[in-house]
Amino acid sequence: MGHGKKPEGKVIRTRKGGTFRREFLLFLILFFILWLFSFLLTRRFPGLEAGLITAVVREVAFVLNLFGYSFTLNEPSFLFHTSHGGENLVVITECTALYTTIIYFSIIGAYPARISEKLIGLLIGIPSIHILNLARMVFVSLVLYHKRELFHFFHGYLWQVSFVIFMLLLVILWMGKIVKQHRAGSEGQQREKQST
Amino acid sequence: MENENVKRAFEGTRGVLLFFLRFVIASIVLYLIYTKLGVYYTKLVAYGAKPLLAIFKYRLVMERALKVTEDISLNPVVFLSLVIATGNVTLVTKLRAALWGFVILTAGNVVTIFLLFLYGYTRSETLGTGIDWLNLTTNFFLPLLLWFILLPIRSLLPFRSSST
Repeated sequence: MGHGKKPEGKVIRTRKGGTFRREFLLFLILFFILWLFSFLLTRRFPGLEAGLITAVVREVAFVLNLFGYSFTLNEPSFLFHTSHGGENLVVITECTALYTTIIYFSIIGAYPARISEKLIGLLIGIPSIHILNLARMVFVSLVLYHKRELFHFFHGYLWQVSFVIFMLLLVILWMGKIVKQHRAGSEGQQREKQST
Repeated sequence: MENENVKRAFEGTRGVLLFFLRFVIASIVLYLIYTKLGVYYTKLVAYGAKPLLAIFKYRLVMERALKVTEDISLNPVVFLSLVIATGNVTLVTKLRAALWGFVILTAGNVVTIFLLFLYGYTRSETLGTGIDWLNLTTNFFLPLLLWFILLPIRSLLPFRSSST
């Protein structure tokens, strides 16, 4: 009796595992194509990077002005007039979150979901990443003003760790709340159709 | 079975928030350790790249290698924080994943340092672009990918086949 059931379970598991593996592999291939292609586009059109750097510099300057901090702006460099002397901050492409945005875009683009779901993910995610990056840049600038010795610590930590965690949070929320919801809805409709 | 346990750990907003709270705590602790002991890790990566460069008859400048490694090799901190923060997984599974992930990321960092020095000697533009891409991939995507592959968390990211 037991002998009869065992192979059946094995077949189902293999088939499911196989489908998952195929789907995941397809996701990875698509992700790397999108990521590489978008990355090369930024290299092909360096004006995009320059424009983004200018935008980030102006936004940081705007916020620092709001808070009443004193600095001289010579794009893309800031010279902060701090109590312990002048501090220089140069904004480069890595400071614009361009690449993390592209990685996020590639994850959403490669994941098997509807176009509308992907658009929602991008519309929520890209501005969020931009705002988080602005907050990071302002925070790092304030560290330079007040606690220069902690700059290296926060710059390193916030650059990588906070972006990975934020990107993961966005992806989990998108997959869990938007894609799954739609999927559950369409599966329910299919079941209803089958039963009628 | 373990897949289902992990799924339960992430259920609801509370589960997700708890995971991220654990991640933040783990990453701060590991980052603090890295700022103190990271020099040994950077040396490990630099010494790993040395024989690769020797194959091409190039020399590794240790001082420069340590400085560059320090800037580009935070990915084990991110990955290990993700592993620590994941709930409802046995210690053995976590340790195995941590070890494999650490080895793979370190190998990635060794290759990056090797290619960076190769670029320094050859000044090839194509190689420079490739290194930038590789470095961003190993720092921002590889820790997430390894976390997903090495830990039983398939159910967390609902691919069609895993939701059936």
